[in-house]
Amino acid sequence: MSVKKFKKIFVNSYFLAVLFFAFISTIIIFSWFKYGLLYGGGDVGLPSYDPKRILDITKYIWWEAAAPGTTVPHGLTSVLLQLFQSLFQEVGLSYVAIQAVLFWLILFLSGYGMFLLALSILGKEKVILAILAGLFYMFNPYMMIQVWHRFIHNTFVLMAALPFFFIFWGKWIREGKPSSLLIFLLINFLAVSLFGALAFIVTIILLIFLISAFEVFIPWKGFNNLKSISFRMFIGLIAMLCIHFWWLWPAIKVVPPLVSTQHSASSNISTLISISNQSVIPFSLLGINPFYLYTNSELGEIFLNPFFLILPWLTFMFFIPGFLISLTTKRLAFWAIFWILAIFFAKGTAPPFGHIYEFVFSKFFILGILRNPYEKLGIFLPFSQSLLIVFGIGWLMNKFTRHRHIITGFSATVIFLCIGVFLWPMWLGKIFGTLEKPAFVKVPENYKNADKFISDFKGDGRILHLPLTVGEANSYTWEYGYNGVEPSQLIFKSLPSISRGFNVDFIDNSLSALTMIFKDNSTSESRILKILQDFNTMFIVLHKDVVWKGGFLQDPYEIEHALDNLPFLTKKEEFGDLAVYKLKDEFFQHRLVLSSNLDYLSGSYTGSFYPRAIKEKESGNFMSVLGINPDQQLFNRSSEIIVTPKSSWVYSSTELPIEQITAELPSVRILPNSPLYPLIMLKENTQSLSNSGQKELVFKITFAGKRLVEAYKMQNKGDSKHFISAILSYEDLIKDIFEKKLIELKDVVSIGPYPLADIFSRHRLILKSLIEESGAERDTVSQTYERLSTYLRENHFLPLHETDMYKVGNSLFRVVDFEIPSDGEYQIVLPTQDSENIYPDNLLRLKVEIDGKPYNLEGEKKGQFIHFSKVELSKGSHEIAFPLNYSIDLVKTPNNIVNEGNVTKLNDQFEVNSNKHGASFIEAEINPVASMVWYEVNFESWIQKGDRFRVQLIQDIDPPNPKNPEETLKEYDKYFSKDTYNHYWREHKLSFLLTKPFAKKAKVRLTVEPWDDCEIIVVKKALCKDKKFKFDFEHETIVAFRNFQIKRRFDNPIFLYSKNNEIYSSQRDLENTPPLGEITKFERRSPISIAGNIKMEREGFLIFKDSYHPGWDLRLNKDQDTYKPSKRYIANGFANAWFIEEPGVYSFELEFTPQKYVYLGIIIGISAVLIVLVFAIREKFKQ
Amino acid sequence: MKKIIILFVTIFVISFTALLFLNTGFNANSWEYLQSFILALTFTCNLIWPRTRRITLFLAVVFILPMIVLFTLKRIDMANAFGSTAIGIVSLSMVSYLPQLVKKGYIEKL
Repeated sequence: MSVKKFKKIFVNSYFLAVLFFAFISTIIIFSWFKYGLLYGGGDVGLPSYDPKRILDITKYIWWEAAAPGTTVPHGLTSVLLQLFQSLFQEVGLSYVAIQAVLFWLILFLSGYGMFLLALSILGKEKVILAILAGLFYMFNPYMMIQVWHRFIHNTFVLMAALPFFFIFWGKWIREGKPSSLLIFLLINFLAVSLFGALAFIVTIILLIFLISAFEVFIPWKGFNNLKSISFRMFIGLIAMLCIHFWWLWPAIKVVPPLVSTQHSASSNISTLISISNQSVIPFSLLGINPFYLYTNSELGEIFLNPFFLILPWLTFMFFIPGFLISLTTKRLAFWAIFWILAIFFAKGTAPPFGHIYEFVFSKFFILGILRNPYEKLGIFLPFSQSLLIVFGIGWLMNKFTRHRHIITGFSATVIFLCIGVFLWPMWLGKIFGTLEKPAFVKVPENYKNADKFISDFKGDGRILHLPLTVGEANSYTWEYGYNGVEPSQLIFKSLPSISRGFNVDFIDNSLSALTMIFKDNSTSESRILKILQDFNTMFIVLHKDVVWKGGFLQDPYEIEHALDNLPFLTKKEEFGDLAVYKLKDEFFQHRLVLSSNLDYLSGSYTGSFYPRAIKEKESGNFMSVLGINPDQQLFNRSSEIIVTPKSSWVYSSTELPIEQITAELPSVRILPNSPLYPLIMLKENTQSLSNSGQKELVFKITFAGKRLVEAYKMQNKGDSKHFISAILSYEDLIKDIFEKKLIELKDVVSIGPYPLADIFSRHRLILKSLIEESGAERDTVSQTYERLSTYLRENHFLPLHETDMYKVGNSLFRVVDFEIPSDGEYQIVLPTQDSENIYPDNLLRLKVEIDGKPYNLEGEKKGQFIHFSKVELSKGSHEIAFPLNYSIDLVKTPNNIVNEGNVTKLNDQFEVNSNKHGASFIEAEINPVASMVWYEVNFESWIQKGDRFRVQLIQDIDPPNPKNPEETLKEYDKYFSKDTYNHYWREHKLSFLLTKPFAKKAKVRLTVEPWDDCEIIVVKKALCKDKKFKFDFEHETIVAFRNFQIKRRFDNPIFLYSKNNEIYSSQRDLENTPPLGEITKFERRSPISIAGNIKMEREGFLIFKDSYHPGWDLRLNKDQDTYKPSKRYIANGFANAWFIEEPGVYSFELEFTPQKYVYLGIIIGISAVLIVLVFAIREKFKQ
Repeated sequence: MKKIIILFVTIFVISFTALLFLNTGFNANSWEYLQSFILALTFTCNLIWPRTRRITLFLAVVFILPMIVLFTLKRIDMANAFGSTAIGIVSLSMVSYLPQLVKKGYIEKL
């Protein structure tokens, strides 16, 4: 074969590129998978582990396998990818091989796609440059860190599909050929899994919008061009919408309530701002996410080396000329403009011009999906940059034709350094996880064995996985470890798994009840059984390989001990670290049950464990209304009524001298009587107008404070005119603050050091003082005072009834609002949390105010609760308030203080001497320990030698510190340094909130460590981090402590309880209660469709133990009539319930209706493709 | 000359205000004020004397160099100040080239 012919076939054709990218991808894949292990964990879990199983779950919007069921509408988008993977599973490929094939394809398509795009821009003869573009697109810091290292599969697909999106949308817009649109639609369909991250819709829409806008405006070709491009864009978008309708429509139907519960506008903005700090210009230009590469050094500390810091900038030698050439060349100009826009889109609020991003963001809540713009839009940077770099290389080659070899050699060196050296983790297979802990996953064989064991029973029900996390992630001590989305629902195929939370409040609250039932053996067996039955539990799988330390999971061995003693369970089998228990058949309760044995449950905490524990009757089902309106009929049918708080907050009473308040409020330099004052107003108005959301609110609160200070000063000066104008201006501002709802006030915790509540209470105190000093203006100021007070009451900054109780200055009060469903007698019930012995009267007397009226209630201990005397309450809202007093000192006597090391006790004083190289400490135990309770620690210290001491909160569940295995991670760990102006005794008052629900033991330790002057003496301060090096510089520290006290704040949760005695006694004795009916036939057709027959002897409730969702639709058929029960409730805090009024024999169908939109969407999508296909064929024939 | 001065001041004041809003929302007391000043100045010059556009683009490239040096020295805040000013200058230059871009589809001469 002649050289010419060889060139023709291999060099001047796309074949070379195919071979090249296939070769590169193969090398990479061999490197990544050389260990033969699967990668997984993080946000995606195990996306290539058993694709058939994932496909089975994701093809429905309702995920039955993730019991008790949830909607994951955008999960549908992964169906095609899982179908593709399951084909390989079908032919017998291992999961590792399937993952390798997928990654190979992604790598190949991204490189080859960019090659095709570059070729379409540069011309067909520029094969080498186009290959280089593909190479730069495959290998750059953004792809290494933000795509591969982040391990988010949607981004993988986006990376591969983006060049193809660009090519075919561009062709469609420019040429208007239906065949291009058809291919564009097919790419949309094939790459649908990228939309699993909904924000990528914006990415793609933005891309096609920019392409279209450029075709119209750069250069402007007239109105006819505008019309035709607008028409094509409209048609293209409609067709695109149709092709995505099958998953988009159900997602829209189901997603909004989820989004609103998961993220608030202010949290979106906070995320945006904090993420934008990581995408400042230097990082955006390089495509580097500093959090992973530098802060966490997940790919090695070598990237902090100056050589590696400078290396990625080398490409800018090509990029800068490429950018300038692009601007001056007609067919390339798009890319320079696109890159500039990409920088602005990706960097978020980072400068320059970052404020506009924040401003727009706070105006449109929907933009919340772009709260991480660097992740969602940042891919435009390497996309355009890879082309601009090759434009630069091409230009240099042409410009310096005489020195072509030098340019080639130089380019090759830069490519080698930037792609080969800088991106070494990609080449060496160190890209997933961290260098120390790669993200390998090897699911133990025991899991499959345990699943098979359960499967062999061919039973019904669900598997409860313990210890149960109410979060979405879990960690296991498997051979290579695992940390990511809880995988049990995927691994256990036999039955649906209750194994994790869903980030949906009411379901997670209910699941938290399941986590608490084995704690401290405090729940009775029958109550445990009832809760297990409510969740349709058949099997319990105890994971002893879970990483439980940390306080949010219970010790699995403790749970095992509890399970072993439950008579209704049979311990069937152990599989390595797994123990499988089965509920005895006679105790198992079906997924669908009938009930007339009811208890009324209302308030915001319906799912929590306490209501279940308060209830006297162990049988019966809790029913709650949807919405806030009470249901009298339901109330009349219920035997026990538990009202949980509607809202609960802490009020802090403030008594401060007016001088101190005015000093604390924003300072005022120019007063209203100054001629410069209009300028101040102009400045303030400009600041208000140009900010929005939280910032605007903070400005307005600050300005309101200023107005009050101005009014105060004007009153002192006797300037009535300006005094009134300041007060009126203040009133306008508070009207804006409270009525405009710029942002939920509860999201603004504090402004500077002052909590919002404290700021407003200071406003009230000033107004009060102004009223007292006012003359003729008194009415105006009083009116403002009243208005402010009303706003504060409405927004839970002030109790509804301000009584004498609050007149104790600077004290804390718990204020709880209850919505009483019906008139009657209610008891306040509170869990003792084992704390009754440390409060006066063993907590059996409670001083409370109900609607401003004082009550001295007598209590009676019943199990873990104290029930107080009955109070008559009417239907509607009621406010209960009580002071948050402190317990007796838990340390009690200095003798209870434990010490270790060199400690000398002198009366009540401890002198703690660190020695030269060892620490000494004193510590006191916190007993009783309860989560979500505040403890106050007081002590005095005197640093006699040295510079500081350490205060630690040590709990039995503290997890090991991954950075220092000798230490544990503590909830509170702080150093207190010497006060330069006080070399004697100092008072300390610290408050700890214990948050870990499974902590049993806690203590406060005051540690004195040796001090060192290493950093003062040694020039190379970094050496001082080395313990061995620092050793020679250590000196003893002496600190004296006294008056060490620990007190518990009384803040136990409170509930209201009432009993309908008549119904209670009739329902308690189940044997005397005639059966309500029975479910005579039950057929599960699919996860979203259930049918069967029921026989109702009388009116009652049908409870379906999947999580409540309005999409579940019950149809009852009787004598050819179809009847839909209209009264719906939430059962047991999470499940669906319908009230069936008419007794009789019914056939029923239960269906999750949003799924029908999927089928409708498929028809619409196919129709759209067919229409475009017809036009494409017509176009072909015309040609 | 008087006309040019008035025009210069007018454009500068308007652009400075607009850039101050875009940059800070009028609520930062930091180097972003200085940055807004530099950007407004370059933008005004670009509009009044189109020939300066080339110089400002060169200035942007010059700003990139200290950014790289400071980045290597791990002084990210300062590197960002230089880098973001460079990007600001480039984007404002492109705005000043917009009529040419709309007319011809590219910049005929930088």
